[in-house]
Amino acid sequence: MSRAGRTPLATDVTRRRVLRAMGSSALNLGAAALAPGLVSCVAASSSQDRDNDVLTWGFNGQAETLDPYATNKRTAQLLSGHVIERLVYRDPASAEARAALAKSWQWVDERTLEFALRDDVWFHDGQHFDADDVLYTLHYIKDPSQQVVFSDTDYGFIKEAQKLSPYVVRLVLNTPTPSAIDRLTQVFFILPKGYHSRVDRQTFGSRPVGTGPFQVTAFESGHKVELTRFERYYPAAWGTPSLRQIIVRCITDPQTLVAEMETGGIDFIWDIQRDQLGQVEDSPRIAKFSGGSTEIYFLRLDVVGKRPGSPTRDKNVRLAILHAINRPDIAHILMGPGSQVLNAPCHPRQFGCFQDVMSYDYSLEKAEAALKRSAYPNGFPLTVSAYSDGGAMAEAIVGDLSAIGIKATLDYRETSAILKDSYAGLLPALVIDWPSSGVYDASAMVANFFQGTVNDYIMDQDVQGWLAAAAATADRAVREDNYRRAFEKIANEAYLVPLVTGVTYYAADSALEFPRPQDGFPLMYMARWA
Amino acid sequence: MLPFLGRKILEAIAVCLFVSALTFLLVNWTGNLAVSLAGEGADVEVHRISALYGLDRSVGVRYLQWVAHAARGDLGESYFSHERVGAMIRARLPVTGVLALASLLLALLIAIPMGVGAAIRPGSWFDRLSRTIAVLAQAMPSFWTALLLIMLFSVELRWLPPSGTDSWRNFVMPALALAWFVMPVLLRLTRAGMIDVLSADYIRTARAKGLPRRTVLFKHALRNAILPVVSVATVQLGLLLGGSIVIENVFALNGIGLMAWDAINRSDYPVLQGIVLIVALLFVLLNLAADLINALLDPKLRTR
Repeated sequence: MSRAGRTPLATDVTRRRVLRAMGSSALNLGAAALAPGLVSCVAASSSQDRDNDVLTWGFNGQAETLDPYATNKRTAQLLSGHVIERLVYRDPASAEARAALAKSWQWVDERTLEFALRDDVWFHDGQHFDADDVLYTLHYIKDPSQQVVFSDTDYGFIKEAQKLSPYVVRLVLNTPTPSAIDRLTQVFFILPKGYHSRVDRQTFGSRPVGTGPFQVTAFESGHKVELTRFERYYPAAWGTPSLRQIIVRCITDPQTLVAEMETGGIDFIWDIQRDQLGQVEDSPRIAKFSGGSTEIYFLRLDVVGKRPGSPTRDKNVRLAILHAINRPDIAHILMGPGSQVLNAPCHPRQFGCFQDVMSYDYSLEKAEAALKRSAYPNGFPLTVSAYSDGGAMAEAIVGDLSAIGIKATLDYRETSAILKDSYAGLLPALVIDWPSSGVYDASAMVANFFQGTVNDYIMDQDVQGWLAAAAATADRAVREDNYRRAFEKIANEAYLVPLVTGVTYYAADSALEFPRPQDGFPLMYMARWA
Repeated sequence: MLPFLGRKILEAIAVCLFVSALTFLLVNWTGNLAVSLAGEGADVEVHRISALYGLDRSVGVRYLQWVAHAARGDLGESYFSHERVGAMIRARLPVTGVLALASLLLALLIAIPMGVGAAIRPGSWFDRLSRTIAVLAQAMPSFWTALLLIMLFSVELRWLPPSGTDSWRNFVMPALALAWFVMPVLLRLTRAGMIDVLSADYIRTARAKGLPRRTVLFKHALRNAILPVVSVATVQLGLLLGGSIVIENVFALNGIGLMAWDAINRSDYPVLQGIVLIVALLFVLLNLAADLINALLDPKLRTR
């Protein structure tokens, strides 16, 4: 039997696919018998959408608020970004920062950024945009009494904003942050000073006002959002919106999402699993494709011994685990084309990420030999925890570890339940899916896992020192040197198992044109019907 | 009547307190609202948010505070959307209510005639067919039934939309799927009740008097056989109101089932507590309604 044949990956079969296949056979018979010639009663809404310049987006999640500061979900913030703009945005094709509300920017020194703002921008409520809105927004974010989610994580690097003139502002940073501009393409949504200070959070969440190319004309929490083109939108660097309306329908069940796509009820699906995309029928009307992502997956191990007697403190055990996990199969079969096996826990596109460090091939012989050299030659029980999208990967890992005598079991739970235990130091092995907040800089990856936080299950003083040194300067060479040292030691000591990079899957009406994003976050306000 | 109502109100209060306390404890043991709010990898945020929202207080204190507010009719607000929980439930309850009522009516429309037909000739081909259907319906998970319906009526035949709440057509498949799930128990009860009643002396007497078959069946037999069906149907309605989570999820119906599912996933306990409280109250009211309907149908019950 091939190695792949023993993993749950190789079969590429899910419970739902089996059920669906069974159901499909029965229903094909039933449908054929019932009414093969009946006229369809479901409107071909896709062609209507095209004629009316409307896009219906099947949203694989719950949009319970459009207030970007009330949610930690990047997916929800993606919708907010259609309404509330940032100073800069990330060009989908090049992944470079481009001007949005800021016409231009420059570094004054390594801790000060100066922005020249556009003077032709209007909010949806008719108010004019200027520097006061930027200052108001930062003041709101930094106010500890405000219930702003992620205020430290996303905005901790900003110290204050200064107004030099109605259309020139400076952001003063707490530490040198060379990735600041890239970070600002993902965060810092500019709020309207007047409207935002007048309404409560619930009102702003359901009827937000921004400067974006679309304004909210209807909102049903968790169910539907209707965005209509903002006719006073300024001539942005990327252009102006072509679509008249974007209707976002929240459909949490992937099978229903697929059925809606097939029946023309929706025109676009984003961020679905590979096997779900495979269920969308092959038809000239539907284009299926994959694209990049900033996500990486890795298996964190309890190296420091947060749980007494943790076997993964033993380097030979960690080596055995590294050699036993079939990462090429995880990349090729589970994640699909475009996924890359990692040697270091960072995304290859990130600044400071070095993948040319010690690598460990998939070899059962080497894995068994390492386990024999360890204090646990006959194996040991190991719970592999996972949440969210990490479940299938954890299943594969459990299968692989069992092959060398490690009695692995799967612990797949809801995200907050897993994270609660993770913070308490209770998880010996955890599959982590980390998008680095969409930032192409290793600092967005390492700060959380290797610099002494509760998520640091390694607690290596050398690694912490190098990463602190990298974070304290804007000097590229110094930063690169320190990141390299840190990633080399993490690899040499086999502190964790870097797994693979993520892939984003899409299905869209083939007549729909939109820039394919490198980071996995499509800017649908740029979309148009061919 | 007053002592009866007083007892029911006390029962309702006890049920609501018990289920809300249990839900509160389970949600807090299994998840963490601050972690849900802060997101992964943000322990500093978790501490800040815990302090900001008062989540660092003990579970008992927070529960008592919730009870005190709920007693004044204030169910709080969602920690995520910041909507008032009362308004959220009011907006979504009609969707779940319509779905539950339609499903129950559909199930009764199938189960009662089928149960009566099966009971008239036990062991006949119709009886065997109805029992096979009941077993099949009971054995099929509701999400699978739902997916099969979507594939048949939406993907293959293109008759009905797969999801949404835009028109009555959106409710056909969810109601069918739920009715299919609820129908077996009603069918079995009707059949068993009718077989029992049809062998009773008073039915033999009615037949001997030469009463028309339809009168014997529907006026004398079914009226008595239907009593347990009424009781179970009201309980089923309560279950449908609180338990259509899977169906609402599959068909993207914005009802309280889907809302409860989201609240559980995010440990958004004010929302979950609100739903549990309302569903528990509805359960109690439905049980009361069942008692009253049974009393109307059976004069003997009124005198007890």
